[in-house]
Amino acid sequence: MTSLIITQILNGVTIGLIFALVAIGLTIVMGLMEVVNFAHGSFYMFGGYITFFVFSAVGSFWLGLVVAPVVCAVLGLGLYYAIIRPLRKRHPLEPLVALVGVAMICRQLIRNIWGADPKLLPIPFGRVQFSVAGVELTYPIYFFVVMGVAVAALLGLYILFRKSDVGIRCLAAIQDRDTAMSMGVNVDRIGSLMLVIVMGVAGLAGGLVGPIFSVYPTMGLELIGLLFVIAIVGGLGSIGGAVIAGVTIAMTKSISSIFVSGNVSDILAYCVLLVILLIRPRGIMGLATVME
Amino acid sequence: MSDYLLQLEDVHTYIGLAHILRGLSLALRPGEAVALLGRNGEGKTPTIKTIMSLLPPRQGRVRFRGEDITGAPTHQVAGMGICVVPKGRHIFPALTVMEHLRVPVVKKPHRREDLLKQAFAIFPELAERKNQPARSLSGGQQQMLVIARALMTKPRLLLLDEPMEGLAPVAVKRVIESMKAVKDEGITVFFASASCERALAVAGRVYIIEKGRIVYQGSSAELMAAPEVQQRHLGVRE
Repeated sequence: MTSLIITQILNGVTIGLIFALVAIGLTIVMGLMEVVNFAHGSFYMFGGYITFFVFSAVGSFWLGLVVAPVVCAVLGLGLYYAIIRPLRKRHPLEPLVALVGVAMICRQLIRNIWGADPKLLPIPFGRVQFSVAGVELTYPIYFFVVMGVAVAALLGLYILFRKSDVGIRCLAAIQDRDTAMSMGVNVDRIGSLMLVIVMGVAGLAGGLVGPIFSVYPTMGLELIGLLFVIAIVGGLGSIGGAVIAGVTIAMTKSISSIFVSGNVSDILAYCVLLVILLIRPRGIMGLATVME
Repeated sequence: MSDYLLQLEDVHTYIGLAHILRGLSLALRPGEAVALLGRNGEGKTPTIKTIMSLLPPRQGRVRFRGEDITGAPTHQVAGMGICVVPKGRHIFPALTVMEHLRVPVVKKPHRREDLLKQAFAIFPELAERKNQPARSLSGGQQQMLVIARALMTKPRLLLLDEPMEGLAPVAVKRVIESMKAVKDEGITVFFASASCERALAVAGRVYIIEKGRIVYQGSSAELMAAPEVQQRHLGVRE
């Protein structure tokens, strides 16, 4: 029992970090472009399928994990110039509807190419045996690798937004677009750069989960509701908030699934986030502390 | 090439369907400090936003150093040498003082380190609070910060929208001092104000705006000597 709980805690951290990684991108696009990017999950799905494609063509999962973010970044740039940029000043429903459409097209496209069945990527590395507080357990090494990569990516984002000029300008534009522009900041160019970065990150996350969940056409759409909740609970544009919210929701799901069925654990996870929102209506970090 | 730094020629600006600026014209010479006076709701903020290209005019022209900048993107207008201290300050709440000063794009050949040194020389109170979040500063300090932020672009023309509004008297004094210091650097200053008395402490010349048009212009001394003009355009309406 104890070993099961520890395993589920580790699972919760791994999956939570992945959720956070994808959700941060969503909040940045929402904050900077004032557009609700319903297609965000599609890039996560693309990441998974590109990794799978490279793996089945060349036999290297790791190469896939490098190719996926690059392709997703390029696709993100395309999405910015084709949909987000031309529509962002229109009535908010227009970009929303367009992006829902993009998400539908992406799902169907993937289904037509690879079919509706999940594609399983073999899990790299074996399992490691160790003991925590006297409890012996074995755990897949790959999950630790995912944690490491996710933490590195999150740190990279943190450094980008807290230490570089372009990141600080992006934060400024999220908080006050007009004033940032008045300071000479080309918010449009920052927007295109951010789409490249966050879509690349979403693609990386999609590739990373391939060996854990396998890849399937609805993996993006399934995630998007959860991502919005994490984004809102975490606070718009907040890396720390997204990590806390992402890990909380994933942990609630994984630990409660020991005792109840998967569907109930989903409901529980949403309830926990609801309670957080009731206590802190502006998100864990609050809007005023964007990106802390 | 005209000898004016900035010219607005018969500018008509709309906010949605509302016709706000109705044929407004004004001109600024290099190096002067000019106030735009008027009651609330007469079009002072739209005038500032029109110059900054945040509200591009539907009719009329905006010229800066003789060049037509009507409808240019805001970041380009800033790059040409116009910067703004917006009404209500508009700090970036999650950024620290130092991060604020990294937002403005520094034009070559200027270097950020030099501009920072200058900004901290004018506003020593900011140097002491470099790593504080801007939202933890007092109102007066925040006003200093947004003036310093605007100066980081090394503007030729600094626009200030109601820079003294809602500040304690001590802070108002600091703002007036710093605006004079900015003018002494050779930067042209154009600011909107609802308070005649405070504005005349800085401005050499004034425009009065009413219903989106300029209804009076003259030197500060002339306006000071004309209480009936002040009463008619700026006093409390009967």
